[in-house]
Amino acid sequence: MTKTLVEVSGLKKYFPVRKGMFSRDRRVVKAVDGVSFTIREGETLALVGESGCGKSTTGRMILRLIEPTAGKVTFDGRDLLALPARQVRELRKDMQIVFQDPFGSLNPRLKVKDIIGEPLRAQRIGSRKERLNEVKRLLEVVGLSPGHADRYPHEFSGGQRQRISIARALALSPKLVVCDEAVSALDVSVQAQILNLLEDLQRDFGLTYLFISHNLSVVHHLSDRVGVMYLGKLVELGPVDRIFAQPAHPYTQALLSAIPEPKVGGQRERIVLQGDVPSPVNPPSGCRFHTRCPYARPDCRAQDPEFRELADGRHVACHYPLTE
Amino acid sequence: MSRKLLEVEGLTTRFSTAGGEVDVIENVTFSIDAGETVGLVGESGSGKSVTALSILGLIKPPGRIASGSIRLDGTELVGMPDRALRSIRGKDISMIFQEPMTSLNPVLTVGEQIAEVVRLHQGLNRRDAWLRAIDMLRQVGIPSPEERVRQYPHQLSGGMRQRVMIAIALACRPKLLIADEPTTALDVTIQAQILELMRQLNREYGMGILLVTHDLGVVAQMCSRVIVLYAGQIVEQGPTEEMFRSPKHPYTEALLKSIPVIGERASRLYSIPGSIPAPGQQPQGCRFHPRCAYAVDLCRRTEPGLFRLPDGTGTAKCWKHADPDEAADADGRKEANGP
Repeated sequence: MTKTLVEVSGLKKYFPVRKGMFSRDRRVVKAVDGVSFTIREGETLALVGESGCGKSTTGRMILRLIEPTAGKVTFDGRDLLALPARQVRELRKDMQIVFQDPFGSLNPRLKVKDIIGEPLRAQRIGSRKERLNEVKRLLEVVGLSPGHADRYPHEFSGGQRQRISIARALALSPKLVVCDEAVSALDVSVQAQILNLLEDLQRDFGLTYLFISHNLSVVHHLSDRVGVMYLGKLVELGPVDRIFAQPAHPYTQALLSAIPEPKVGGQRERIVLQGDVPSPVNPPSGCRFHTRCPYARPDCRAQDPEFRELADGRHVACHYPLTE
Repeated sequence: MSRKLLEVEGLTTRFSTAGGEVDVIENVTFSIDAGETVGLVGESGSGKSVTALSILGLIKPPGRIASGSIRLDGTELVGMPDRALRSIRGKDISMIFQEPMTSLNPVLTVGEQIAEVVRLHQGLNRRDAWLRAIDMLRQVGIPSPEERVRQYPHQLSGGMRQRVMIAIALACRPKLLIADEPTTALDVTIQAQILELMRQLNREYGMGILLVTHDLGVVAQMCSRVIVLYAGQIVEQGPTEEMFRSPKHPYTEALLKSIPVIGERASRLYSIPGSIPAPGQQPQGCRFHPRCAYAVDLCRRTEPGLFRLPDGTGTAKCWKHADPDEAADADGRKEANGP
């Protein structure tokens, strides 16, 4: 049995709604509202869902880049939220993040060697010269050349910049890498290069990925398990093959059917959901999906379904799962 | 017999840059029939959007249409005075863009924005135009249009804004709709709604649609024909089914192989080595040869033409599909001229 690297339980993040300086608005946006899951060592867990479902906020809370409102995150056996700031900084070596935008996430005034070397400098690792050698090695690991160390970010294409971001994330030999829409801004041919690189690095360095994405085809290709989020909650969690073959939650089913597949014929039956995602300030009562669910029954409106385990080992938050 | 709605022939759009004149698209030729949805695909920098803007006559200095012809229902648009072009835009040709937030005017209500178009192009009075706006919102599936019509863009969700964009674009019943990445900024469930809407409106109005996108999934579900652009040139053109079943140009083939497909889990994705050349830095010969798995000497030296495929359905710009004699000829001639 593989070891659990990250354990998240009852994680919540409420952001206050601020409308003006003297606003008395006491409402909150329930961006993440009670999410629990584990990430096993060496696996890729994906979090999918539409904009505003809370997947990125969840990823950032695990790194403590956003302070949770409630809940618990255990990383490698240690309670992350109970640790003082200094020890969190120490633990950050083990967890890194790669962002979506390869243009916005690299400082344009720094040379590549300073960008990749920054985490090493921040953690006071090695001498100047050792750090430069390490940067050159990392550049080769991600498929760039050591000669790129003295260049600036603007001299690189989107795909190359994403390689630089990955090299920076790898600098401290982390255990967990959170990839937040890491390939979403890339063209398909470049996306394929980066996905292959992520897979190679996982194999070579035994990395664990939390892969946050809205692109379900990419998620299916890369991950072992997937968690589907809707309005701040997990609605389904389990092995990617099983969930994609036979979704248990109506939202997962609708989401999968909405992907336009790049092939002619053999398209799944399309379920076009009506309406928009409701506001997380005022989520619907009972099951949050009931307003758009094609199968909703009266008790769905009244009672919030529990996130429970089904016979086949997956978890689902639905009173009437499609597989039962 | 279907009617040719749009005919683009030998279109070359040139930009002056600090480094000299650069052809961003070169010798682009295609047509769209009335009622047909044609996909224009390619990666960033392939010239998709410049092609769309050229058709709309929206290329502004330092860019210009250097040569070629664009005919809408037989009327030549290239060289047409700005005034005349303006009356065609919005009335006969409409466009929807990727980002509905920046394309809508934030200080006007959505009703005012739709009404403006119909008053301008169809001479409707204030009252009728307003009623038309409400009617259009209803047609694009916006609930309680009588209230929404008084709202401002920021009060609407992304999917709703894209519906408003479509309502504006269709208010004058255009013959041709150019949709530039209309669903790229939207979530998949909302994307499904918008695509469904476009399909339905296409059936009802019978307009031609040029769908510009990088998403091959959207193309497979929406278009009857596809045009593939690479580095400013058309490399393949043909019926969607045929192209997805057996792509003829190595670039199309590589592109299709590099996207993960649900249910066909490959252990490793195919990735095209290198990246798309910048305009003005294209290699000699076939522009795709440095990244092509099949490239031979001929490809490095001589640019292939757009060859008609044997089954007569499409064209491909690749020596693989040339008449063997023609390829041998090009090969021989070059060698004879060689040192």
